[in-house]
Amino acid sequence: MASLVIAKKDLKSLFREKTVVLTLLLLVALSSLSQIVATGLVFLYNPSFEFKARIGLVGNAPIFERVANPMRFENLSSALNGLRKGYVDAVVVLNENPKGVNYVEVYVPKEEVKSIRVIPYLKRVFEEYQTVLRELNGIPVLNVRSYDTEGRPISVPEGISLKFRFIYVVLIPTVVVLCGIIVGIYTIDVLYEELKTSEVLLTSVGVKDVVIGKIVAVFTVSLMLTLVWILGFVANGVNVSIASVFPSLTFCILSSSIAMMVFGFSESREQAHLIYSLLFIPLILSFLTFTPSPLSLSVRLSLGILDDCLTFAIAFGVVDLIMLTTSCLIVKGRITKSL
Amino acid sequence: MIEIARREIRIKRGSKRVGLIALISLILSVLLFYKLVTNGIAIDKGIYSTNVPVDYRPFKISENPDIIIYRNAVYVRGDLKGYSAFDEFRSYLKMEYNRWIYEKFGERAFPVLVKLIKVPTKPVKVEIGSERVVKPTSVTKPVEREGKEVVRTVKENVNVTVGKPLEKVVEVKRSEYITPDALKPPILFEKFFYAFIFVMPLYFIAQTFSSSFMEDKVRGRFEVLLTVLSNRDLILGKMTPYLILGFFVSFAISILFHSIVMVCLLLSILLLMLSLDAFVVFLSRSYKEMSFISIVVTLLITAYLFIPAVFSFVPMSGLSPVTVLINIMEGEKVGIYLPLSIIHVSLISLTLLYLTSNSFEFMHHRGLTDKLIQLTSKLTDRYYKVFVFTIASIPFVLLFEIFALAVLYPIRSYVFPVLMSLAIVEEFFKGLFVYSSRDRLNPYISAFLSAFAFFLGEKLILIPLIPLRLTVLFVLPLLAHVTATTVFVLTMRWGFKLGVLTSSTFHAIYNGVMLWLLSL
Repeated sequence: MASLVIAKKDLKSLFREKTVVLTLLLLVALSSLSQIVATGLVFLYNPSFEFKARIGLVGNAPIFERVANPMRFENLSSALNGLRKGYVDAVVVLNENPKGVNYVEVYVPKEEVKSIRVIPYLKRVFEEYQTVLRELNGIPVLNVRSYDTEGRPISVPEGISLKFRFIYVVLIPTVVVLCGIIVGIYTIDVLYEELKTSEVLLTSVGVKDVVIGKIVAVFTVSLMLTLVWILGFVANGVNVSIASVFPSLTFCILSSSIAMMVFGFSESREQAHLIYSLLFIPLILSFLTFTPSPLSLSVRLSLGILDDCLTFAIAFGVVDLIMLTTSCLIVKGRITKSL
Repeated sequence: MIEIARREIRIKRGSKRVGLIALISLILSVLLFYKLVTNGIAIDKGIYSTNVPVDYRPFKISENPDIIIYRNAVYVRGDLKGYSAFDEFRSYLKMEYNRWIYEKFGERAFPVLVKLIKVPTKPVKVEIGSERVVKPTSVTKPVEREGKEVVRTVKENVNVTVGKPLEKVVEVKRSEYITPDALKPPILFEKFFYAFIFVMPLYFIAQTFSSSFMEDKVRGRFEVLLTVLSNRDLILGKMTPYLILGFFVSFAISILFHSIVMVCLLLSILLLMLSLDAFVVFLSRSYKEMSFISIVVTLLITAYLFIPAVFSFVPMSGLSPVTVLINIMEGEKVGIYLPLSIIHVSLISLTLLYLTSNSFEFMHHRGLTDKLIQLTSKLTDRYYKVFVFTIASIPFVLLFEIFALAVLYPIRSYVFPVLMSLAIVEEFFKGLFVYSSRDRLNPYISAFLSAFAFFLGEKLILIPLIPLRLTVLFVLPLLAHVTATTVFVLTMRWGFKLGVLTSSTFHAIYNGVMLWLLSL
């Protein structure tokens, strides 16, 4: 009961300062901003984005002309002038050799805003041209046909996976890491705050109650942050499975356990913050490099892929439990030592 | 100032344990980073599913697959995940197909190889000794092709500057020949990632500074130090060791890229982070509060610095030092954006440092608004200062407005709450300078100056775009700003917050009416 009172006190002070509200708003803002960025990326970089570039041609290339329907120029100088004046969006220099390799020089605007629109179109044109030449040379051509589940032919835009990857493989792990950092730093702060008053506090409650109280407070904050980022994504129209609560919480508890261990071995709060940050960098890099990790689990569970995740989830839960128990003992020792 | 810097270095040098951890962390990070770069990020393993085994990391077999591969066709589930799975499967097939036809047919399998040459299409000055202008020149003639297909032609009068062939005069960037599949628009993801890696050490330097600065505040060291030092010396002395450390980090990175200007860019970013953290310490009442505000501010500033780099083709994106940094990494010329990005970030930093160095006496006041009112009250003792500080606050207003818009994005169809939130941000800053100077200056004059400054700063950017005869359109927004601040003055006697609320309500209603009129 005493531990619950301590947890309540910590959470009350957190809400009194209103800064946690700012953090929660940040998580919502992050999910919205990222949605805007993701939409912008798809709109700008998608090769299927409808834009018909005007191509200028210098040289003799009858097959290419049939494929691309270009404007012809007599020489490169006048073609480049045409490019500069905006009559064409790209200049192709090509003297066609239908039976051999064609080395094509393509002049595109240096300004990225123009080339972003032109290059995807050129890619489509040259792929088509390549297919025609391959057929002419008797090289088998790849043709991937796509159908919906009813068997009707469908056209899937090229590059659509960019948005999907950005949301599920970049953004969601980033938010999980962010929650972990927030919880870790919060843990160090509440423990050091308690250290100042521990002498008085421990006259009425035991060290164990203090530690459990802190864990309850940290767990509540973790749960709150996790639910808010999931709701933020859902409000922005992203499908996030409720199962992603688990890896987010697992990561927060792991981060908090590391923070508690750091508290146990550090001399001051600023040193603890520094050590925690230094440990966090290789930890995150290892989670990105090796799989399964809490981050790979967060990607898969946010997509609702549950099949083989249960084993890993149990394994990470056990690791968390061991880390938490060890860190509790370390914290207990540190508080007792400080008396 | 030098003494403070020395003391800071002495404190930080003290712990061997931290040094050892830092060294281990560095070695581990380098090793892991190497593995990450060579093998790629592994967290996408098994995110897509198929009915047959596919030897590609993101795919795995499932009973309920995203795509079904059957004979020569792929059946796709009609959601974003299904489409993405197919898109990536198609890319994988292309890769495998290319490998196979290369093994079987050799170079003949790739009949088209493309070399992209980028040429500037903005007018270029050609300064050649013996130039003459040939005009007009007929560029092409219409060509009739087989099958009655008419190829479009251009017949234009073109001024050609002769002296050297144009293609040799324009600056070209040549790349190797590539297959059409490899043609990609200039996506900045990879460069973006490397820029983040290089900026990351600066975050840690800034974090150590903020912890140290907060520790001084919490332990009451400021009060003692300020008896013998000026505010400015104290803050500069605290920052100096971190700036020196940042200089070494930046110098190492600049050597890597053979570009000494990178030092200036990275240092301007570090200065921004340090000044922001110093201001955050002023705003915070406790360590806990500082940690939370610091995370929010760090993320906001990361977005402010990095998002323009994603859209680097937008000319204004060059105002972010990260965009310029990436362009330098690419070997591009950065021109005027180098000084512009450094100056604009440094101006924000200096404003924040000025505010922080004036804030020591209010460090321990309760409440964020109270602190800001006390601080601005100290600074706004003349009418011109009300004007100047209101203009200087505009970048911060824009930053908060972007944040508010992002928070309210899911409810964007409800116009009034969105307009009200934006109005609150603007009226808060306008009212702040009027309210804090009310005891020394006439509030109505301050209100007019604040409104005019805000109007001027806000609309200045639009003036070159609007014809002179239409400048009358600006009268209405000016009147709205003045009326809103007058409403604030009339109601601020019942408190700052109520004043902001009433003026914001007026502001939001005005914006709502304007939107409605424009939609008619």
